[in-house]
Amino acid sequence: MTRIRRRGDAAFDRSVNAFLITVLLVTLLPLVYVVSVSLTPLGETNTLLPLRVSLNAYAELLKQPALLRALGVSVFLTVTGVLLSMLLTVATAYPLSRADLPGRKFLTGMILFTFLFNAGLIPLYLVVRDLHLVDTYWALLLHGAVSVYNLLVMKNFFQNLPESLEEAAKIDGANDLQVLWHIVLPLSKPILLTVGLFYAVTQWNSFFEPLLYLSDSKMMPLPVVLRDILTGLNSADYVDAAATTTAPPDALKMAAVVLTTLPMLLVYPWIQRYFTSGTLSGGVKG
Amino acid sequence: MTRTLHALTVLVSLGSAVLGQAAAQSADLNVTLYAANPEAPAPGSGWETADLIRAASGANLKFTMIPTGADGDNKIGALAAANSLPDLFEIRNRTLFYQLIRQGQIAPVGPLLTLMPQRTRARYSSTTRNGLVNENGQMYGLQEPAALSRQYGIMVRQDWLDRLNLRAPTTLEDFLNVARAFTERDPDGNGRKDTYGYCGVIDFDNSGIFPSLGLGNHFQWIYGAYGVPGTWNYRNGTAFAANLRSPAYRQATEYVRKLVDARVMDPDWATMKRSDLRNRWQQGRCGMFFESVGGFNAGFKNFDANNPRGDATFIAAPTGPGNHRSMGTYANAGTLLVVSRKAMDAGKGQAIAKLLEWANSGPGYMQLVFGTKGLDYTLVKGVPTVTNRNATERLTDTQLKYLSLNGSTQELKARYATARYSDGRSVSLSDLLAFTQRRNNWIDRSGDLVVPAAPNQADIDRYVSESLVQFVLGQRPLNDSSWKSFQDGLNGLNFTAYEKNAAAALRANGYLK
Repeated sequence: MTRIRRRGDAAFDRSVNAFLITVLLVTLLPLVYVVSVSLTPLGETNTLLPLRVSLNAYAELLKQPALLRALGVSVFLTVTGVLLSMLLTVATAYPLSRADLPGRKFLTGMILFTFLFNAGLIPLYLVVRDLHLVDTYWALLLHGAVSVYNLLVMKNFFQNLPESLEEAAKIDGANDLQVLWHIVLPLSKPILLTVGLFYAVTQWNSFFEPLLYLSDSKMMPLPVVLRDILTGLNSADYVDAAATTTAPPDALKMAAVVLTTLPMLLVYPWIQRYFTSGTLSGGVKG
Repeated sequence: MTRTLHALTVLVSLGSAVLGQAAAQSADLNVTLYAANPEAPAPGSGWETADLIRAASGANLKFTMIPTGADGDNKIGALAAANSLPDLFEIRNRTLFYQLIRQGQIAPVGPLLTLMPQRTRARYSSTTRNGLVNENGQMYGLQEPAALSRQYGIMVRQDWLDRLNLRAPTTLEDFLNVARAFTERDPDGNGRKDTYGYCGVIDFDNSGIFPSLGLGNHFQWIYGAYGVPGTWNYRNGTAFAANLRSPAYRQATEYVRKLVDARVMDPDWATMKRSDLRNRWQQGRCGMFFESVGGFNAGFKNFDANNPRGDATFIAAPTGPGNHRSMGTYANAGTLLVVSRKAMDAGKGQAIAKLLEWANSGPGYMQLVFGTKGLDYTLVKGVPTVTNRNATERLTDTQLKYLSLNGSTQELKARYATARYSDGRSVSLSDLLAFTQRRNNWIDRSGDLVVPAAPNQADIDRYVSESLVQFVLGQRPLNDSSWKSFQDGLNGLNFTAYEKNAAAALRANGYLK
């Protein structure tokens, strides 16, 4: 009986492994293909693994001053946006996680309401315009600076921290800000990094808001500029004379995709170890 | 007293005129256009052309690029709702255009016409074309003629024809035979069966040709060979109907199925995108393919690198059983420019007219289309020829060229120069363009633009396209009863009302007698 169960367990393990390997391949192969095509030189057929490697597509893209400027804009928006969002989210989540905050339920309900119902694009545009934020980066940084989802995840994490720690600190003479800074935040690294990553990805991928609120092409972040480059490549029907390239059009497109995703891919491994505990702890209601 | 009043009136009038002129001289003009060169940024401050525009029209130009597709439409919609539309802007979505008219957001442009006599004579003197932008007897848009259309066609690998001792196909029957040879007789001589006779995709882009119901532009030449290209049959006024009601439409569909059954088409055709198709012909997998001159130019280097002795050229649209032939349909309507009511109310009409008149011809035209003489282009035998200057800067400088393009022979020669193969051969792209424009019996269906979209247009488009794909792929039998069932299905989509509305709109605008 025991042997049969062990054999069954092994079969189960094998099938789980096979399933996970399949999922891994399904996820990984398109990525490998994208990188591979981006490295394909002129005169080569697109394959899963390139026969010859060329960095011409990347060189072509990076030759464009607009792209480098857009990269700088995206980095600026992401760093500033994350700092601002984290400041506002922590400053809102921490008080809401304290049971003695007057009107806590009401405030949480008001915040939750905006999660379920929003005014839509045009009222939002009117607000941004009337605050004179159009054509400024504030339109992108303030709009959506606090995500209700991230706020609730963080609030739940704070609620799960033992109250005795706070009490001990207060007995030692710490005020609320000192408790937050010296006790709560150091213990909340997983959730801070997780939520920070969420904000960073959102800001990095921000596409429609810059299109809507900005008109100066020099202010546009990376996704908008990359879209323009890709649109230019796709709508080759109106190409003018002297349109020359040293890389195949597909390689240019894929190189653009790699350039956009690379920074986030590089950041992820550094915070991956905090990621699981951050999302799980934040999601468990105390 | 009367004299004093008269003197005062004259003084006030003079003052107003001076003030008006001053206002025109210092008008800030917000112009929003779709990017002519989306891969390059918009020009910023210190742009030399802006100084020329200021000198010519008195306008301080602020130019913004708008993204194509739904993103651009959403932006225009949001700006309209906020009463913040640009002064002069381009619009491509005609439903949105009429919506803005109804909302009172855009102004009639009739008063501008006399202020720009040359441009009006060259571009806005066709009553039929102006009829495309009329509403309640008022002209609400500056509808440009098409500066470039009909640049698509069927390209054939001439080197493969030569290798297999074949002639370019002229009939549908020939086409199938050549396609079969390209698929089965190893035309590239690599010893592998890795080529296809014809590569096309389901594609409804409207760059230079008119998208219509069905399988898209890449298969319109087949429907043209049966005399039913495009969505509507204008010929018989009283019996006006959609082409797909005609028995010839079914015969054309049967021909597509014949190509599929003969396995001479790239088997991925029903799911491939245009970029995939381009990739394949550049890699030397297609004997014949549907492409534009611009698309050929863009992929030329890659094609040359992959196919060292490759030679691609256009063929004329093949003839069908009834001696019909047509590569497809097109609309002689290009950029649509509109002026916001806000701008007109603010007295910016004169500055707008001056800008457009300057952009119509002479130095203004050359500056906007080709950039700075000597820096961005030189004149070679009277044809502007771009220099080796940094392409991005040149493309940035010519982002406003949609205000100027006119489709003249000189312009097309400049834009479509000569492509050179690495072994020294060359091909004139403007000759290719002239060939496909003139030799393909393209049918002008500009009237389609006045046909209002059905409330369930997306459902109709999807139903027709998917049904036809099922027929030609053999997923659905193609016989009397299945064809009748397909036609009956249209009734469920209220297709008859769509046809009736189309007939009424075409009659009202003089396209149908």
